[in-house]
Amino acid sequence: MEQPEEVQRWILPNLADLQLSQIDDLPSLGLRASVCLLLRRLEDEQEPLYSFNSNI
Amino acid sequence: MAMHGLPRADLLRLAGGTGGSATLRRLCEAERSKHILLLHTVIADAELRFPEAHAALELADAWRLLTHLQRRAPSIVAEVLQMPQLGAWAVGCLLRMGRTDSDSPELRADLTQLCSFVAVVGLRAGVDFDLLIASVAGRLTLPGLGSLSTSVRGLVRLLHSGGRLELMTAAGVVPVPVPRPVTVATEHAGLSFEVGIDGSTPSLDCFRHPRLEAVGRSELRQWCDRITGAWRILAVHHRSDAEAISVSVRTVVPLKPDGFGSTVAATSPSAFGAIATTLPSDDLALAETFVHELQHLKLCSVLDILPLLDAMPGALSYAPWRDDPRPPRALLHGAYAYLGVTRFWRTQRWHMPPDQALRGHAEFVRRRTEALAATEDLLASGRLTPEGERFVRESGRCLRAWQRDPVPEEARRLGLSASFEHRMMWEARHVAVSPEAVHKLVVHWTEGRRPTPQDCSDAPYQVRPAERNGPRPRERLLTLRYVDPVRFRELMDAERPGGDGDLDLGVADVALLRGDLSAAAAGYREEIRRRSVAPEAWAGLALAVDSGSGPAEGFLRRHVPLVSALHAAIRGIGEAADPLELAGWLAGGASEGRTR
Repeated sequence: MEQPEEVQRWILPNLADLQLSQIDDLPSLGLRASVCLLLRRLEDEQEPLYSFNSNI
Repeated sequence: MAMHGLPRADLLRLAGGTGGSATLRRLCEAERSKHILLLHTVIADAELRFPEAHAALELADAWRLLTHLQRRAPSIVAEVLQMPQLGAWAVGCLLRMGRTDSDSPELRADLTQLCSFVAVVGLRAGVDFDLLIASVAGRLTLPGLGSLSTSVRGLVRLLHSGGRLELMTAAGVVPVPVPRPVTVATEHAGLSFEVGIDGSTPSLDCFRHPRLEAVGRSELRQWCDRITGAWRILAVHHRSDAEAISVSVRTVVPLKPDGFGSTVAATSPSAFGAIATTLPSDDLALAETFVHELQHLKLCSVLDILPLLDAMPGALSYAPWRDDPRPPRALLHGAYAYLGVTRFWRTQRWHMPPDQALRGHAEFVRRRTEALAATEDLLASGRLTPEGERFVRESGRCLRAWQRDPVPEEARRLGLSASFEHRMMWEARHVAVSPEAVHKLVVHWTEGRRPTPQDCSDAPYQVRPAERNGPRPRERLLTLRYVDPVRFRELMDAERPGGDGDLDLGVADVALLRGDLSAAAAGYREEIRRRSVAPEAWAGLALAVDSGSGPAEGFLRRHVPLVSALHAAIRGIGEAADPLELAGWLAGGASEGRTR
């Protein structure tokens, strides 16, 4: 029997090929929710991801 | 509203540390979406919260021009919208706007950077424009292209007409040269790579390490040679990574040397497509750096479209590549970066010149061990989402398969001892055993009673948060032993009595690095006897004793925090105990439990 598709929580609206002039036609609440989620995470992650390769 | 997703096969490929050009194109599209979303929010928030600034800066006109340009030159607009400079600026600008209620010259200067990106599109597309841009410290930046000098402070009107670029000032219209981007373009084995060198765009000052803002002619030649050399290695031996880099890495941010000869490299979740790095010492180091940072970039993008961790902060834990305790998110990033690095060395070790083969094998054995341990810690953290768990399990599956790959014995010994020293040092510094558990053991000790197995092995502990320190001399030398054995021997020769060595090593460290383990163990025991706090000596002792020589040594290597805490507590009541004697006493209790 085929396994049901697992639920995956995609969180980023696909605007990659959108005409910028059409962005105001999209549901603004949905966009706002995505931005809030994104900014909350990015604010927590302001520390850059460092790597050091030590040579003496 | 359609959302970005990733086919399951792509997600599994990414989890295994690969993902070629097609997968990376999907991630790039997602990042472009993110940037569009952020850019639009900057405009909308500025209009809503700072209407006077929005009007004065003519932001609506700039946005309209951008939509017009998108119809005229869609591919150029897509490229600019995907620039790391734009992502870093938009994130920073929104966070800064969120922290203020007042219109200010700084806020306005921040907002006009939007216009500078539109100007870049206009210049590249050859379209006329008239935009207001702020000059900061006498410079007007066109991201990714360069900057213009001006004596005008504050807002400057930038005009582009008939191929001429002009600044409108109080003194009139001044023609200015169109800045030319600094780029390195290379091609090898049929694969090309073009990357901009950008040390000046303000938004890319997000790596908390000073940038090399002005790259002179001779420095540019060095960067060009190094990138070309690294690309040769990647294009031939690490094809999948090279393809991914050619699709996704658009900018190298040159960092100033750190003064210790280390390669410092960084990425930022806000600046997808940018790798910040000091100039590495050789082509191989840059190739490894690119692979390492590519892993961070890929994971940043995956996290933008699919949560792999829940929102809870999570407990701090050991990360084999850092000396400070790290939260789960950082551990996930490190484990993923070192999964890529392990894959890199798994192949690269067979392509090293004979005098560097040891380095390749030792790096491989060290990193595969560390990345797997971090992966297992993550799976036990309880902070992964179901998708995160699947992702990390797949990474772990690859790493487990690589544990079976043969490695020459000397490389195994040197790689794993450097790794073990790092872990022991971290435990000695950051793991605090519960004072109640230690007190109980002190009572047993003073009353001559044997401890119970629970006292020995199940003592509760917590991780002490701490700031990051720089690499220590012993740690550096243990790595140098396999990275550059000739240099290692030179440095150790200089440490002989009468030599001119200045490595700041103790007598026990020198004995350890020379391979005289019994002298090293005696030296560390003496150091512990003399000093009340000696994490370096405890870690050194754990490294110097042979785990196969007896239960005391084996116990010490597994439980440095417990033995050292008990030692300090016994000292605190005015008594003395030898570290190995204590470890043996604890081991007796622990083994008694096992035989019951």
